[in-house]
Amino acid sequence: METDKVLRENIDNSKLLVKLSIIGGIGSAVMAILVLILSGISSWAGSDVFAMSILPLTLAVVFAIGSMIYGLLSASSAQEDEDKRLLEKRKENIINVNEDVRFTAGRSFENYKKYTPYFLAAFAAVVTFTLLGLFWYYRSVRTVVPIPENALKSAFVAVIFMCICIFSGAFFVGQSRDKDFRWLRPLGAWLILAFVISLFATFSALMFRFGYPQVDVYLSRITFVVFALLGFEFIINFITEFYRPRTIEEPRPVFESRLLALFTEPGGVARNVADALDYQFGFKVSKTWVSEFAEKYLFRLVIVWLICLWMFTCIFEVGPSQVGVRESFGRIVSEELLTPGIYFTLPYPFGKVARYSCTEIHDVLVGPGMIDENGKKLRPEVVTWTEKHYVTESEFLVASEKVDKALKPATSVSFLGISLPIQYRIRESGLINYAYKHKDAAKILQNIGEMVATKYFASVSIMEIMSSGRQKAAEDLKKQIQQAADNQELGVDIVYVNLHDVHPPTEKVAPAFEAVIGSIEEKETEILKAKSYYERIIPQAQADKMQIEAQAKSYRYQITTVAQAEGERFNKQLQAYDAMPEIFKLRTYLDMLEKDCADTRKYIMSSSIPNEIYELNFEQKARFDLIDADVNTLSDQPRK
Amino acid sequence: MTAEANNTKITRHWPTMLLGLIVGAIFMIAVFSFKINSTETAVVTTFGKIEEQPAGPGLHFRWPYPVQEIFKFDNRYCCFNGNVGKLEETMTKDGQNIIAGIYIIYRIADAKEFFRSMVTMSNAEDQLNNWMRSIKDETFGRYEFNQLINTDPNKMCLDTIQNEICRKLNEKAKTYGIYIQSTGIKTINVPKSVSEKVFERMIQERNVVASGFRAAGEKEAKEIKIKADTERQVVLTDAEAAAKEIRAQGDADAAKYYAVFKKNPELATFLRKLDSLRKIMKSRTTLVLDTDSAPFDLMKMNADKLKPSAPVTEKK
Repeated sequence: METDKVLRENIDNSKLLVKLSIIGGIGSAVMAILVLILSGISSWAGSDVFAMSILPLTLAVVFAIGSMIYGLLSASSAQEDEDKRLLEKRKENIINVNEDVRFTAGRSFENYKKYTPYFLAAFAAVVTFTLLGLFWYYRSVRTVVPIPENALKSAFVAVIFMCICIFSGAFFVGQSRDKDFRWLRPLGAWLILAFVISLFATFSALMFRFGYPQVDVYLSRITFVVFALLGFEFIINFITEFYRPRTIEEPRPVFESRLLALFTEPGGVARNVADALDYQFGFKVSKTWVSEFAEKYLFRLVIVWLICLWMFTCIFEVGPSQVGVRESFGRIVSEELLTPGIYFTLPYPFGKVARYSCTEIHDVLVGPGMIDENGKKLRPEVVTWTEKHYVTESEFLVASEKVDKALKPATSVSFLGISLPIQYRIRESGLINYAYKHKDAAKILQNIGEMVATKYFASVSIMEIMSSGRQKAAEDLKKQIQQAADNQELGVDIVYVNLHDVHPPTEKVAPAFEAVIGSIEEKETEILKAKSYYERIIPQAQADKMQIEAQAKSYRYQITTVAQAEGERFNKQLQAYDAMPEIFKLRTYLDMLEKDCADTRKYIMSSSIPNEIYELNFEQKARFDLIDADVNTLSDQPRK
Repeated sequence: MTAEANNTKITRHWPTMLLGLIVGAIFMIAVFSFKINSTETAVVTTFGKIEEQPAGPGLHFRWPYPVQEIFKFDNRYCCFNGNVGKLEETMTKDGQNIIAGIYIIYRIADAKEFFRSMVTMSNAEDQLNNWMRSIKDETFGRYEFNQLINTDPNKMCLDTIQNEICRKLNEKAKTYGIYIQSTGIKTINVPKSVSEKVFERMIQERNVVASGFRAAGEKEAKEIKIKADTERQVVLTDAEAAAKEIRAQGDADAAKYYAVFKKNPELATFLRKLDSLRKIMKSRTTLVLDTDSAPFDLMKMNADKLKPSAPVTEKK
């Protein structure tokens, strides 16, 4: 029976689809996990492009699961059909088997076919943008750009991925041409995209190996944009699906990327473009006159257009501050320089006008190396003697001023770090020499500069060049470099020669030079300290002087005043004395005893009683003072 | 009919044919011509044999490969600093070790000779480097160190050395089609061990200067301190002297007033003693007095002595 055979084949195909989906899904999942380990968890791969290959692989897993479920449902549906057929035969059409409630597989299969595409498209869009968002986030927060541990090994791994992806992808796409395996197509398409990304990763790893680490950055940007486009396409597909005329029999699943299909499906890009248009608009757009016309004449139009573009290479403009040299077949036509304006020559590659600016100022640097090992140009903002400020410091030998006459061969030398920026511009009359007689004139000028500087500094004294001789040295150097360049017929005008960083070698000798400045400060400090001592001590002495004199003066005043007063008193007392000498004396004596000895303890003894002995105890105090009181005994001490 | 058909066929296909012709022409041009820029010179070989006349700038006819082969060389002056051992330690006549580096500016003067002997630029540079090394070392070895470095520019021979190296290099390079336009000494340095010593000496030189400054500072400070002390001493001594004079003056003035004591020295003495006693007995003195002294003599009055002592008491 024909239908039985078809059904049988359906079941087999569905089972095969399930198997293929599982193989494809597991393979993709394994690769996705490997990518995650190699470039997400560790940074072994060190390549953004490689890391981004996780996206197509993840989507491949998603679509593999989708097609696996499709296969399972389709198998059970086909099984169900077979059962129905058998049932139909046995029951001989008594009841409509299609209404039998036991048979649900067919319906769920139909539902799956109807709704899952929308879900898958939406889910794929979510996955895409989530992963892209994560990439964006990590790229903006990370501080160091990862580099591969071993670029060649990374490239090797990427090549293996490439092989797996292209073979499996091509196989799935090929297989999907069969109607029953239609759902394998997105799996194949995304695997092919994974192949392309792996190819990028291989290329970027190889480029890294050969010293172009930027390639990875550019490729990862391209990849990012491509993924973003594909992500938007999911959304657009989701929407446009509603507006598509339902005329073509076999619908294309919504989740299938048409952009990818352009490249991954057989038949060539142009054919696929036309097919995609036909599919979207519902009629044969590719058979309209516009399309036919384009197909017929496009080729010629492109040719004419290319020729026009080519002819544009005949026109050259010499800019306002430039001069031009006309060349045809590589030969200079005339040594007369072209003034600013428009000129016509033979088209590329036969003729050209080489243009140079004779007003622009170029510069070369003699002395220190400014490019560090990462190829970055150093621009130190602070230049001190004691800290290394360039990648390599220049060291010029400088003669020392003291040449010992006794030891004649022992010429003593010193080192001087110098940087000598030379600014120059092309001399108009020497342009041909500059551009056509010298390869890399800037390098030649730099060497000439070094030669002149070496010679010049070998004959100057170090202290002079560091101080007063600096200006003169710059002028001399300019003159000598110009002369040497003219001897070489270099065709340049030296505009300016600067003399920068004239200092002893950093880190070693420069601290000693700075210490000299320090010692000058120390000297000044000592002197200022002494001066402050002077300023303090002299006024103090003046004050002492005033004090001594004042004391003397007050002594003089006191002694004279007292003497005067005493003299006057004596005069008065003498008068009283003269009046009655004995009484005066007695009176004054008794007066003294009464007044001045009133508080004095007195013992009065008779001197005329010879046999009497007095015992006086002076240990006993006459009176108790408060300070004599014994605090402990005060309470029970009877007062005497 | 067939002619017409042919005709339409031709008209229909003329663009394709034209395109074919153009592509063919371009191919022919590419295969049968070669271009030499103004900055280049070229050697043409026919079946491996070098053509006598080297080609100048412009477009030239050629037989396609493998009949003729074109080897282009840059014939501009270019600068070469050397590669292996471009900075090399060498010795001067007086046995001083130096590190010297030179550059040369050269061009390919005779492309044919150059091609025959050197074939490629990198071969030529290796060869040039060898010559540069040997000639440089040899030339520097015939000059003394102070002819390289000297404060007196007239004693320096760097120019002579450069010219000598250039001349010798040219002698060697001439047969190889290379012309050396000029040579320059771009680096003269001393070996690292020596440069360490030089650094050491430079540091010591600076230390001497620094010590000088410090000592001068100390000296000046000391001078100022001594001056300050001296001035202070002078001021104080003056003050003392003045004070002494003032005191003496006071004493003299006082003496004048004491002259009145002369009128009655006995009384003056008495009064002075009294004053003194008054001061002495101001505090906590115990006075042991004899009853003979006034006024306690009054206490001795008894019956038998009352009479004779009465007049005394009265008197007193």
